[in-house]
Amino acid sequence: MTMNTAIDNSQLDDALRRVSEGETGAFEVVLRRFERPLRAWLAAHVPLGVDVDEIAQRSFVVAYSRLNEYELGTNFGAWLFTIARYQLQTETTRLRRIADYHARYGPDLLQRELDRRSNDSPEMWTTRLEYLKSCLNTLGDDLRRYVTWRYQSEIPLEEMAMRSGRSVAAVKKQLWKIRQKLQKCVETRMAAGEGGLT
Amino acid sequence: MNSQDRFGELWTDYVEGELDETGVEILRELLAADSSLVKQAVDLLQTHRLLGLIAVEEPARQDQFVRETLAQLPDSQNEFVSRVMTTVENANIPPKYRNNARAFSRWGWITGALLLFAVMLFAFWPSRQTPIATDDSQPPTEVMEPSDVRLVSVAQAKFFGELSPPVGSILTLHREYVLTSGLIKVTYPQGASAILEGPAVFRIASNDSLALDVGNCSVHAPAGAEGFRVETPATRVIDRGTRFSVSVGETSETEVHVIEGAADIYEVGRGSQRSDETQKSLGGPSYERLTVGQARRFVDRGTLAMDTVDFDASVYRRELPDRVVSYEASKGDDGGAEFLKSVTVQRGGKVYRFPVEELITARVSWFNATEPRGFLCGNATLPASRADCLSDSSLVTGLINPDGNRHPLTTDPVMHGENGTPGMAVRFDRPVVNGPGADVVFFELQTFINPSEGDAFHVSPLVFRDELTSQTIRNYDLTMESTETQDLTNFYVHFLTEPIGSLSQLDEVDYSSQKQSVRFRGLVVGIDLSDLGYRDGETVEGLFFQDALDDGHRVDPVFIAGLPEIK
Repeated sequence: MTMNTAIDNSQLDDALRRVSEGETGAFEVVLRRFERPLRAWLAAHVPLGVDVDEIAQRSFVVAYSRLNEYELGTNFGAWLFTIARYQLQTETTRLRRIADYHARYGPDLLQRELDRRSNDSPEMWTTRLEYLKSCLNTLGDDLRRYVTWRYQSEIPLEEMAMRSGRSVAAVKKQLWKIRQKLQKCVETRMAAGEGGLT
Repeated sequence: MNSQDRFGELWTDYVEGELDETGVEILRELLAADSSLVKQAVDLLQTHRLLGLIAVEEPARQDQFVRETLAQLPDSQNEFVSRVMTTVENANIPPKYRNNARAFSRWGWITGALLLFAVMLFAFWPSRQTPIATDDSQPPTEVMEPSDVRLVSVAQAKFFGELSPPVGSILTLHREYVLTSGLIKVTYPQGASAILEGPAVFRIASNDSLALDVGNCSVHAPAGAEGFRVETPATRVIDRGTRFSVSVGETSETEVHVIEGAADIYEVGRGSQRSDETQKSLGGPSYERLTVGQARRFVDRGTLAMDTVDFDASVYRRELPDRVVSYEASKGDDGGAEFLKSVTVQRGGKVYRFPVEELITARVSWFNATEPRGFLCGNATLPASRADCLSDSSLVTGLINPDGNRHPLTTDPVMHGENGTPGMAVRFDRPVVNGPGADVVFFELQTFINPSEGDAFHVSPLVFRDELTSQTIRNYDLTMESTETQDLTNFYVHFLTEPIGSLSQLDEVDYSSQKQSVRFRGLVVGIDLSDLGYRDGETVEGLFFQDALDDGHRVDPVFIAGLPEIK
């Protein structure tokens, strides 16, 4: 067993070299290394109605197919995220061309802002994901159950209302407050984290 | 209601998918009027999406993503072969291979075989479209669809560019499968079966035929499956109730050995262009009939020629080699395998399932390592007798990273004092009887940055005599790439602060623990005591294990046990 619990750059380079020599299985190392940050970044940037995993998988497959264009020893992560950014743009463009997309999925102002943010540092989104997880742990059980119902169990609002003994409108309001609370918590931690680095 | 409350209501409806067109229009107006709301909306939208990601973020789901993505790489061998075809047609080697001599050395044979295959295909393309063989069935169309042909077993099978299809899965009609090494067995709906040996390129041509472009196969067509065909680039071998083997070389020469019954061999591809001499050489107007004990080689030398070759019954493979076929384990909280429940082993050609309770426990009797490392894995806390980590049925508790030697032992290991032999000895709770096939099962945990075949190790007798020898295991029966290999539940690695020279020291030395965050898998290999020189029926009380020190990775045993005697 190699005791490193994270995949370092030399292991990544070794895997990329093996892939370029035809050992497709070695691409698993690449997938394991970037699966989480890429999905986190995509989750934060894909328009509604788009499957994050689909774009992530497409990005990995394109990276694999074009590996001969990648120069070993350079920044593979940056190269992969560039590919992902193009994949995201392609999907966004495709959606824009669907006549009723905005009627179904809403304001294009939101999409423009999402597009603008797609140039954010990808690494930041892994940090945000971690902060969000720790912020979730600060929620009391009473609030936490709404998050579990909504995101893990994916139960309808009506059932959430029934389980909590509240109206659907009250459940919606509760979800709005929880999201705001979590958003604020993440922002606070991000600011503290950035401050700590200076 | 103020605009902030209204925005909150609309935005919540928006992410819940409950906003109608009127609502979308109002939300759009609110956003257009206040740019701070756009920022807030997108902030919350991103938080909402990340919450969705966290909800499904579990090892099993991540593994599923990785496996699904791996399955999409290169979409199919057809795509690979067509890329080779394009390469041939354009006389242009892709840069990926052009500047990579090492790549060619590694994959040289198979790439060469594919290129040759492509050249043959390309050269014969017009005639393949209009076959005038005496058996005039049409070549298959290129439509991909499931067949009724099933992959029933695999032994160390590796496929080019993809993982092996799962055992029990249906193979796809007309799809090129490139088996780079190992063996597989497929069964056809009428009862015929074929064992293919890598390297081989093959297709399921129909529900009663196999197209073998390169490689070896052994066919058994029992009563009811007569007429089963093996198509090669130059011949069509039709079963007449038999066992036969077909071997296709890199330049499509085809060798057929008939073990039982009879088989008819037709020429295919350029029937109308064959000379009368060739037809005569084939022994008649259309085919050669081979009966038991006969063998022929068919070679395309511009015209098809037939050579007599010595019959060799050993080229026919009746079954896959004895091996550990699979294992069952209970699941941990994260869905990964934890406690072994049973192991299924092929011994002497027969498959047996052994519940873990019937296995003969191996207990560590000696452990010697000259420098401190992570020697133990398992739960957050260690048992009082730390060596028990190996003998319990958990697949994530074990004595890992033992010392070793580049050269296997040739004399008795020393298991006392300061100059003891580096490595680990085990003694079985009761003697293991040397039976057919594997007699001992050896599980190790492995992750994707370790050798995919498993970590090499030496296994030696505790007491040598003239006919006994050590054995070096380099290829496990179930490897990182085997579909039967299971992902393991998470565990801790315990780093001991001092070298270990005895079991009492193993129990006493301080340690620090680290939880593994990378997914590991449980690999397993069967050890045949006959390979160490033990006689059939002889009993063995223990064995000595050493890492082979052939690379930077150490073997990580988590469970070793003897198999019960077969009566």
